[in-house]
Amino acid sequence: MTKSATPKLTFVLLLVVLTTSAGRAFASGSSPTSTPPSTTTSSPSTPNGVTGTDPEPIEPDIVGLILTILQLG
Amino acid sequence: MIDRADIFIGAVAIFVGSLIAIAVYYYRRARNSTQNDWDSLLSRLMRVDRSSIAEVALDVIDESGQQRNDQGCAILEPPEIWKLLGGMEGVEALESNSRVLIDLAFYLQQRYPEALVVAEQLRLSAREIEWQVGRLRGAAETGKLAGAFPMYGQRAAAAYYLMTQRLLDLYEQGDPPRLAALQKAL
Amino acid sequence: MHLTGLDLLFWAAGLGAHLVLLCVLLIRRRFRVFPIFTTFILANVVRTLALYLVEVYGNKASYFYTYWSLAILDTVLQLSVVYEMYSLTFRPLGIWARDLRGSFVWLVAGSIVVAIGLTWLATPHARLWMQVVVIKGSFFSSACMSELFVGMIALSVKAGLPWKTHVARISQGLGVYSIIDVLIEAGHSYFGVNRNTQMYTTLSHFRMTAYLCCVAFWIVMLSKDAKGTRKLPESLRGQLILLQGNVDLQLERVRARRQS
Repeated sequence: MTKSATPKLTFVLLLVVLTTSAGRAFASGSSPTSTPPSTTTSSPSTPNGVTGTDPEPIEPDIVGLILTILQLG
Repeated sequence: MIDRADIFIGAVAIFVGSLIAIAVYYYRRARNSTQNDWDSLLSRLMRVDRSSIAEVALDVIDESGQQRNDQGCAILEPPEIWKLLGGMEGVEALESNSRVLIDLAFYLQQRYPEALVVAEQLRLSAREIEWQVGRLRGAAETGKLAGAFPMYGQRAAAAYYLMTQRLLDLYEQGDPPRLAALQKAL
Repeated sequence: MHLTGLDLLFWAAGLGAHLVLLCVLLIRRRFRVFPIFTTFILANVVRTLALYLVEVYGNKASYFYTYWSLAILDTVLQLSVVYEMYSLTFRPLGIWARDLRGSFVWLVAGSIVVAIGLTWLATPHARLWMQVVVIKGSFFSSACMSELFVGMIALSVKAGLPWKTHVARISQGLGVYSIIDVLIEAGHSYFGVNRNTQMYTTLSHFRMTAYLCCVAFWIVMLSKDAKGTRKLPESLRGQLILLQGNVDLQLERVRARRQS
């Protein structure tokens, strides 16, 4: 592992840990501590006040986002 | 056991039900207004004692609408004004008639876009009368009429008198056969 | 992101409906009267195309964040459409009707307070705070939108200001859609994102169906001409101008008496 990759990975792991723990803090009291993987075959929708009929995404996929940003960087 | 989620759903149901009820009520009212014609609107005007209204109005303004500053102005006392206006019934008639005047303005604005400026002015004037009469009615209901009347009562009467005077003039010039009917109504 | 046939059908139907509506707005020249509403429809078309490209060439994360960024723009445009409808109804002479200015402040403040109260009551079950924010934010904006449209009906009737035909149709469409959306958002909040995903999907499809009906309504209504207006008889015109001038003058004097 290169010297520049180690801090990046540490940063990624820290963000993932912070985000998921913050999610538990903000979410309602009855949210489970362990969550099953999302294996939906249809696209369940997160509701929004938006118009239009575009498919509504449900999973933020934070890890994927961070990796995308790092790749772009 | 009722939890917060159930309270939320109940609150949303009340919220949506209220919105629909308000929308339906005002939508029906709007439909009734659009179906009126000029004659049916005038027929809704309640009779008020025009000479009494004139006496109240002319205590503070002259025939041309100018504010009176002579020594004989503003001599009517609130109880006299109240009696001349016809008490609460008279006030309610004024309020009802100002609503009809708003509908008249609505009618004009809807059917004759060219009359927009005039209709809007008529509407604003009628709304002002409605507001003043509303304050008067509120003061009567809370027992504070003596304090409120000098401020609202005569002004409402004066504004109503002037507006109806102009409407009568309008009819006198444009539609003499209907003038008598309008005079009776106002 | 895996999409079913129904998802794709809704997606394509939405794009088709927006394109037809855009054509109606351009061909019938409604864009001159409703520039903001036309922009709103155009933005929907552009958004669909952008999301399609992201779906095909991007990944799940990029689709998610692109979708929600554009959703913020959509909400801003909806509010702008509300403003446009208010402007066309309550500014008959080019300035805001002075008897209603206080009412507007109360209406907006009251709408926000009620929407905040209802949103505070919502407790959506979700794994991530981001999902809670999204669910609650969506509910809040739907509640506000529906209050503003119903408020518009009430104020215009009370004040005696008629609606122009096409203003009424656009407002009715968005108003009904907002009220339906409040119920759907409430359902999403109640059922959450952890369990019962089939309910989610069904509710979302209901929302899309309601929206497609709304767009179809706009297509039909905006392609028709507004009711014909009548020419003011000459005798009435002169007299009404005289009436307006006199009443205005007299009221100023009556008001001056109050201040003296």
